Amino acid sequence: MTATATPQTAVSLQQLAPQITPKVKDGDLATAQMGLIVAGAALIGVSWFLTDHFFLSYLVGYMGVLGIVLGALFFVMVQHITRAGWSVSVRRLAENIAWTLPVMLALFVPILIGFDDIYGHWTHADPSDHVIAGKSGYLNKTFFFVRVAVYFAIWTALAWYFRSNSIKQDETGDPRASLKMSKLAAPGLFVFALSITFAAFDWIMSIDPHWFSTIFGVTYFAGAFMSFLGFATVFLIWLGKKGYYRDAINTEHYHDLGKLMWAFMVFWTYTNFSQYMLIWYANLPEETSWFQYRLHDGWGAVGTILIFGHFLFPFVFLMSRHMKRNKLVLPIGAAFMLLMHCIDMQYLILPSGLHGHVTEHSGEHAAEHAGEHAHGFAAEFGEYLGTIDASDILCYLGFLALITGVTMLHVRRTNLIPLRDPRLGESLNFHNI
Amino acid sequence: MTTTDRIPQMTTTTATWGVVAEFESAAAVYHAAEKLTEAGYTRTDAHTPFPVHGIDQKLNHRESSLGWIVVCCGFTGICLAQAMMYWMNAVDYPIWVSGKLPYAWPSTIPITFELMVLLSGLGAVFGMFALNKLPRLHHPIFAHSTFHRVTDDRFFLSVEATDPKFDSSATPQFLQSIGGTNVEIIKD
Repeated sequence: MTATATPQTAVSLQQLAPQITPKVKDGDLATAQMGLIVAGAALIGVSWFLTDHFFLSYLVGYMGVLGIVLGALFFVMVQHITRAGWSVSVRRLAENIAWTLPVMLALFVPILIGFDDIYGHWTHADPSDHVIAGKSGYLNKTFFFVRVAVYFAIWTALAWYFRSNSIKQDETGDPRASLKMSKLAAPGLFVFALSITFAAFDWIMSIDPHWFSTIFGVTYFAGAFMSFLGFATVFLIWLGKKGYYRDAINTEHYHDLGKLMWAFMVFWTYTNFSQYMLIWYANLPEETSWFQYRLHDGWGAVGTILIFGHFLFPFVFLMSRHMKRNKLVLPIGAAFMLLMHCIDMQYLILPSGLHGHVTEHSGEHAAEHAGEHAHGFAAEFGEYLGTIDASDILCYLGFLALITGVTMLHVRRTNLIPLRDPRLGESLNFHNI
Repeated sequence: MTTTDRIPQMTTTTATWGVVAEFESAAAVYHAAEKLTEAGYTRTDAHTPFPVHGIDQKLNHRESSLGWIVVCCGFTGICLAQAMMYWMNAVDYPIWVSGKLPYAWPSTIPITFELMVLLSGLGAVFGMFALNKLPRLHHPIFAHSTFHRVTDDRFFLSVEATDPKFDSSATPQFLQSIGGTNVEIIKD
């Protein structure tokens, strides 16, 4: 109430911290930006020729990087709703990453083109399959496309709102903008949570239309937010080496980004194990067969890789504050988590897309074929390498490069940090106990 | 407890615990801490109503070993839980339930997690107690005439007598010279 009654403009950056570079120099990083966009497009293009399941590879890359973009949107809203001080100097980058959503919408088009390749299990379902028939009220193409539009409308509107208001505040310095944004962050997070959950159901879980897991959206979100934090860390440290962000984002901020990344890595494990244990305990064929398919064709090795690479190793490796405060170790850990995120997407998408999907007879099928898969990690891993194509990692790298390039475009056009956010001073002087 | 119990204590303890100085602001105590360390004092401490960021570094305080205590306790919790469940379920009284092995690792994870958290939490609390030599009902520093304001609006620096550089006349003078007021020598 007091804030609205007597609006005061926040102090300018010149008063607060005159040494900070507020913007990327004209023309600087333009080559990197173009190079990344071209390389990204090229990698995705080349993938077309390297595989017979291009659209599934495309979805692996797309969902992996969409997670980063949505993670950025979540980050922005969480900072507003908690009225966080520490993150102000990091927030502009997140706003810019989230504003790649219109590009992500355009990049959704190939998924529509290859729709039947990806979602054939329900678009071309056996008419006698009454389980899929029973779900047709939700799983039909028309409603599916309507939902795609709704999700993107929600996300794009939120990304636009928070970014444009924050940029406007760079000019006006009006602290009421911060209050306004923290108010919208609450309903924003609510619709965000629902939309990312249903998007994960629609775009990944429905590849295997018989199978269902109510926690699935949360597991996707956990990996998504973790990979955003990893991506932001690598991006900021890279630009730091180019001389930007340096005075505004320091070890303290990296430490916090690392803490959050570590926490959401553990959260990913928590939700995934929650999903696994209930299915294992209940032991119902319609649920367990999803994991049965993930024991064949080398996917068992990937499950092991995820347990160790997506949890045990980073859990120990990044636990110490000294590791998170080291500007060489942290980005290496972050890049490693980005790789694990790709393997996680492969694990979710490819086994269902490439081969079987859960059917009414899955239980009997699994029982008959139990023990047929390769044994031993090395043998399984070899089988996995034979199952996937180079495109299953190249598409992801392509999307990463592409979205980094587009982010760079926004970063070059806007101020590097919210220059007149009322909490900027708090962020610049942020200090971990 | 009668008042007479306390009399011998007050007359027999004459050893010096250290010297304590008062400061008016967080900034003052922060800069004084810097100068204190620069002058070569090592057994020093700051007492403030709220955390003063960065003052630990200024006093050259080493990082707390509490993290290691918590990690060890957490790891003990993991081992204890696994050993307990393995012994109960697979050795002492094996029961086959719904086709699962007597010792099936997925079912042990929640308990393992809980016991790890429990022991980590207890380790954090009681480890902190041990490192701070708590519980104790009295500390010599309470004898300082204005120290009660440490929970309100005053900031204090203390130098213990065990500091190699401690001198009962030079140290108080130095604390005064860096802005300290109410500099008092505290008896143990």
